[in-house]
Amino acid sequence: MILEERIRIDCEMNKVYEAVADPYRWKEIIPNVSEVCVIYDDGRNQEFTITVEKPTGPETARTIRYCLENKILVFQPKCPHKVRKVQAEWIFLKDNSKTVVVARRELELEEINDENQMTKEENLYFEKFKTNLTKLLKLNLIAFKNHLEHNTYPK
Amino acid sequence: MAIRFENQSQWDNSVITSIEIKAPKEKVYKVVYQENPRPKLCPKIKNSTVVFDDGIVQEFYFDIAKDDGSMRRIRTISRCDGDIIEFFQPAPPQYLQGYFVKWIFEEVSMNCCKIIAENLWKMNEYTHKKFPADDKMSTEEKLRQHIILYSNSALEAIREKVVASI
Repeated sequence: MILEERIRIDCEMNKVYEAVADPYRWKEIIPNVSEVCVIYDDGRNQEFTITVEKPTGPETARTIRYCLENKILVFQPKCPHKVRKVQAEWIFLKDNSKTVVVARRELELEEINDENQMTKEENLYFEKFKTNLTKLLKLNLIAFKNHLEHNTYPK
Repeated sequence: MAIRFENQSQWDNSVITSIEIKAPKEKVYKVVYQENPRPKLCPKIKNSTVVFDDGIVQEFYFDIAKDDGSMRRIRTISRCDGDIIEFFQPAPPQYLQGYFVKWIFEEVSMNCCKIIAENLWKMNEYTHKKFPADDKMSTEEKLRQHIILYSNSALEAIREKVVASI
């Protein structure tokens, strides 16, 4: 299952990249992020936990990230229910003085090799999951856009 | 304690070591990839446990014998990306702020593969205690020699594994 959302931000690419690459800034940019705890960050390789406030209560996820040239790869050792593997990517594309940010998620579903062979319940579960994740990706991208286009930080 | 480079991506130093192995590149890569976890390749490794493995990223613990005979537990996160296997230690040795290794697999000929090991590190306030400078060598150089030795022993161990598998 592949989900992809993109947004154009009126900000230079290096500033957009820096904002996404700095785990601590997520707390000030993404409204429902309540805590970020960096375990290791050498600028390229990162490990941190991020706590997100959800209607069901706070949820903390451990995240491993690789900040590469023009893209950030994200891995989460603990996957959501019925998901075997999650691979995420933030891709940064230069668009004159603006930046296009692509948020991509690739998910492998547990014990399901063919998505056309899912049961009705599985279908419903993953449809809801897909909707929620797409919404989250959009909200995150909008939050970064709002912050970078209207916030005074960083100068 | 969290480790975060103040001046990010500014590694103190780097060194490249390499080895040529008489086997096809695919074979060498496969042997290294299958030696899960990768530290099994190092002769000083005593125990290892894989915590997470999704085929690309792998997290594992291993125990390594220190010079004084005691054991130190190391946590490593590695990433396999086609022709590259790289790893970092979220909790590096006490004498380093960070240590990052990249093994690049390069085809020399149909039956010869070169592994280029790029080692990058950042020192901290304990580096000078672990490798005190003397008349012959500075702390930086002692550390550099230590890392070269470690890197070469891992590459030599890979060669042995590949040869044994042919």
